[in-house]
Amino acid sequence: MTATTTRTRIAAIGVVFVAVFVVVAAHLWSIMVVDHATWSRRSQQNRWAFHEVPGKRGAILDRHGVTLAADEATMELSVLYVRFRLRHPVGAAVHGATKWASCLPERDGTTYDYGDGELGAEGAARALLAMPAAALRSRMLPKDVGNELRGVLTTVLATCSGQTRSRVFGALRAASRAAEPVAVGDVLDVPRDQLLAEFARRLGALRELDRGLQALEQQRLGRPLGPDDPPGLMATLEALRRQSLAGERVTWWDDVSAAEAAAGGLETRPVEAAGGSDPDAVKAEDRVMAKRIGSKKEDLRAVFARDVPFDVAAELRVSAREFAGLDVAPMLARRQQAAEGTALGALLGVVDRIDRAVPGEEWLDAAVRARLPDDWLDDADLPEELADDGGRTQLVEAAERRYRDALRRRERRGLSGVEFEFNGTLMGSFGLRFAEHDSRRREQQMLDHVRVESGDDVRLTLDLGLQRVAEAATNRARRAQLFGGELDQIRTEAALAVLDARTGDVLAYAGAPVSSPSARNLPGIEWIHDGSVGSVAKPFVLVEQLKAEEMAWPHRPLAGFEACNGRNCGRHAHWDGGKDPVEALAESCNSFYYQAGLGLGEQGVARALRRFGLSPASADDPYAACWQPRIRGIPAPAPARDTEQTALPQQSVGYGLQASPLHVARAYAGLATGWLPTVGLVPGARPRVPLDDVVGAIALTERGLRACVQNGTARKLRLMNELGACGKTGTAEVGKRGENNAWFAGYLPPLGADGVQLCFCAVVYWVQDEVHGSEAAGELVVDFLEGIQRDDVLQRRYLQEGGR
Amino acid sequence: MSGRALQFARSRLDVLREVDGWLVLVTAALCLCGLVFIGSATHDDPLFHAQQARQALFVACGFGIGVFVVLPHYVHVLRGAWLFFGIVLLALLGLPFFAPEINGARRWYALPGFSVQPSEFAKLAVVLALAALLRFKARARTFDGLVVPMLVAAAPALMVLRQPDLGSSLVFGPVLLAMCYAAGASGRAILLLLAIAVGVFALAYGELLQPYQRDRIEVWLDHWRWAEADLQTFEVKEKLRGDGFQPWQALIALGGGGMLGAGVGQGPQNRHDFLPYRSEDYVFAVVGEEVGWAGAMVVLALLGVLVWLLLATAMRTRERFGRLVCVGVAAWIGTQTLIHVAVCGWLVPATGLPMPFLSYGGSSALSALLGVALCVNIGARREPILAGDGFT
Repeated sequence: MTATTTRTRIAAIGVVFVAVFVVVAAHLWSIMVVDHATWSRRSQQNRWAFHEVPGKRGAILDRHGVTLAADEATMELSVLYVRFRLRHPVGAAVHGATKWASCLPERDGTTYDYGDGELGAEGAARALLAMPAAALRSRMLPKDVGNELRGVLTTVLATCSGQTRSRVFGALRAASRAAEPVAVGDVLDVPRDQLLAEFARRLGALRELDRGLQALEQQRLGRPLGPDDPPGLMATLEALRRQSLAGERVTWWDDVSAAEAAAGGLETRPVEAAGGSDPDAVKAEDRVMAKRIGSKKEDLRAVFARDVPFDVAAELRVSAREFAGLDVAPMLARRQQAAEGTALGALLGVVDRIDRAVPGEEWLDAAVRARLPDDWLDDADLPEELADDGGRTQLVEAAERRYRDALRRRERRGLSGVEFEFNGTLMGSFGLRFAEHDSRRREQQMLDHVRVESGDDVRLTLDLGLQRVAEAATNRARRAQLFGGELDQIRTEAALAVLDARTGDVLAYAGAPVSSPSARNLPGIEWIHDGSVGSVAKPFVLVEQLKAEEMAWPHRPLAGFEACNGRNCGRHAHWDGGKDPVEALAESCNSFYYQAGLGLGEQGVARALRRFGLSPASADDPYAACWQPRIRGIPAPAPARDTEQTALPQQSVGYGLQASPLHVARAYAGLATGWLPTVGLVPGARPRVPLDDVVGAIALTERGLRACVQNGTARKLRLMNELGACGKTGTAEVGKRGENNAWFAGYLPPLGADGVQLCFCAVVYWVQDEVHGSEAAGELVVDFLEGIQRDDVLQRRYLQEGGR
Repeated sequence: MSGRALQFARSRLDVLREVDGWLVLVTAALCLCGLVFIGSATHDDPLFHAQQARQALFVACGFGIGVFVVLPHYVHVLRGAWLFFGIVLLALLGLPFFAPEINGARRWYALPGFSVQPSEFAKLAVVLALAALLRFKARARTFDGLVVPMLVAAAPALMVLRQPDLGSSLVFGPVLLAMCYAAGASGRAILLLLAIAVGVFALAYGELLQPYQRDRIEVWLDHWRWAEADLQTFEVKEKLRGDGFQPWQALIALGGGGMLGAGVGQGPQNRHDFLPYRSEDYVFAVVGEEVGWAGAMVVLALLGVLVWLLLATAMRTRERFGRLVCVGVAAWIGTQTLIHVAVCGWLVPATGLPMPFLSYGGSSALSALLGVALCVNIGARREPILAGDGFT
């Protein structure tokens, strides 16, 4: 070889290097310069993200500022199953043993679960540790099976022995190549029994956590858990195990064009028929619902406990290694003063995530449009390639998608009661941060944001103390009046409405029992049978009778009334009451009111009820202002009358009139003050209708109501008399066996320290024959008033001498 | 000091006047680049923030030791080549027994304050041993003569592969081929060597490679078929979260760099920790992201110039051992650079291999600097002093 030849060879080596260098440089040019925009976008997708910030919901306060419902920071626990089954020894053992069994022809089809027994979790661990290490040699098993088994065995051995994964992996590898057959459970210098004991401890820790969380949930709900409640950790793991083995994926139906569905080979079904008047219905002809298949269910977080106290969740987070695969995330939970099943709970209502509350997308569309301003992202410091309209539009669309998804998944909405009615005020709005984060999702800088708005508080007119007393009284009244068979047990219910007669503020509204959190199921709101008010309507007819005499409207003069012969009043003959309106009201004489009704006629009786808001009034009616069909926050039905099925005389004694205790109490507030208030659940000035034209009639009626308490049908209610109450009993026959709706409505003089005038209406539905308004409903009100007397604060607030 | 001793020292120091300044300058520039990008890759990193200072110490040590390597005639290196090779081989053999397992591999001897990676020194040892073997003209001319050099390269390569360290083991093949070719092996013999290497690799694919290494190869093969729409599919996303994570993030870093880059310390992929082990196995991705294609080409050009200077030194050297050492060191540095860059650009399957002078690593820096120092020594000797078959 000559020197020249050697130099040529060295030069040739150089040329080879140059050639490879050119290839590499060209590849880099292609990535870095030609496709720079694409990679730059991927870089941004890597690190830019929209993070939603849930807005705190406003609190609901009672009239004295006591919190009735408020958001509380709490924790949510979830499991990422794919991680759990790879990194937690219990998950790894259950899946590993199942996988190993599938490799053995005689055991194919055997599956292990999280239960007890030979095919339970501990059985899985024993089976896995008994597996021969030689099976892990290359090509002994299909590649994916071998890889998975190596992974789960490393997890089980490392976590149960306390040794590092790399060390365990090395030991497994060495054992798999060893000439001597050795079981997987014996590859480490830790006895197999010790490994199994540690495994049992880890399994026990999971079960203990599950039991603890279930006990907490029971404590929170105040009742045993039922099938509708969250299933708990072990049941969730079991469900996920089945989904994992079946390879189940999330599926959903997407509205796409027929062409797109055909191109993608997607399973389709027709688009659901649109409404006939929908102009978009025509467009839907070329569209189909296509089945989309998303992530494996085991790749998604499955929530197994909500409202977990911080200390429990913190322990889980601190022991993250101990509970691999389980995650802790902060959340906001709605806390109420009222226990589930109470009337206050029903009044306040429930809050839940929007995806459960809103079936359609329209609300979401509106929320996204309203809350993401048009200039969103205008101030963000975007790089050049995104600063143009196209890039910005893409970003805005991504933000909207994220916002919509966040709203659906995390924002909560009132579903019933006050939470629903005042949702707009309470809800506030979701925030969105456009931020740059690092590989561990830690936020590095915020590029732009939509401000999170906390909801405003809502103060109610309710008094929590009064409400509790009212609820206790209604519960006792119901229990006292229970009788008969199952049907009667269901129908016997009690309700009590308490207003401030001066303002119309609802101070308490109790009902028992409450079968669901929905306020609609409050007795007195949900009519389960005939809700005739009975004789509590008589004062209004009397007012009309007196007014008609004054105005010479059609009527029968009192002087011409016949004395009561007892025929219309059960066995009682109100000889005096037959002609004296005060006595007639006190004794609730039907004969008197039949005659009054017949004299007033249909129009007169209707006018009597319209004046006090107990019958609908059209806009041109002089009593239109008296009509309050709706009370915001309480879904009480408007009073209704049935004049076709009810004869005129019966109408004048309250038959054919259905009204909630709230509406009846409102009418009595009119009698108490001479003003018909607008009933409300939130404080503030509300219109009230003067009853100046019937002042004299009301004064006389009040004497009747007072006499009713002093020596009339309510005379047994001594406390009422002592407190100077005015009131009226009512007993409406509603059942075939003589069952009654027992009513009592009335008011106290203005007694409270700040001049509150309590006005109340109580009803006990479906009481036994011979039980009247005085015994059932009247006693309920007395019980309520005694409850106030027992409480010093309430006593001072509502029963202390003062006022008139 | 006696006059004789003074004369001896002066004669030793005289060689410094003959040193190729460009070689030293380019090497120093590369080391400086390395310190800058290691600093950028580890800035604010709670775990690796000390790497820049440690690397500076290693580079300083490398230059210091390099001076002592330059001073004596390289004939002493030839005499110690086999001893060095033997020590390295023993060190590699001892790794499974004495080295701690880190990330599933036993590559480093843990010493107080630092660790030593024998596979980095094995590259230099193989270059020296091959040069010592191939300096005899006759050996390279027949295929039989190449069997021993092949075994010399294959022994440490296999041991490194079993650590496992696929990246480092890949360097030995091209070094062997380049040195054999430079030593006079026929093209046919080189092709045969290449065929044997490919054949052995193909046959041993299942046995020699770890499962994760085979997975990386499969993801690499897959990724050429991915279109934009595929990136949104579950399967591809899974791969990009798994075995494809590092190379994909490196591609994003390079592609995001564009022509001029984001600026030193400003690369988002680097800054936000999307690139694991970026100061070691993916330092070129940091370079590309922060100084762009233009800057990356400057760095590559510096390495290209270094390789060219080493090959030029080889061409200038009339003595075979020195010439082959220069060729071997050039092949080693050039191959390792190109593999590292190709890994960062996902032109080849992902494997961990430091970029000479730029990646963090004391053993890597020291062995590369010693290799260059040896070539500087060889280049500084104008007159051959070896007798026998060493001369051409």
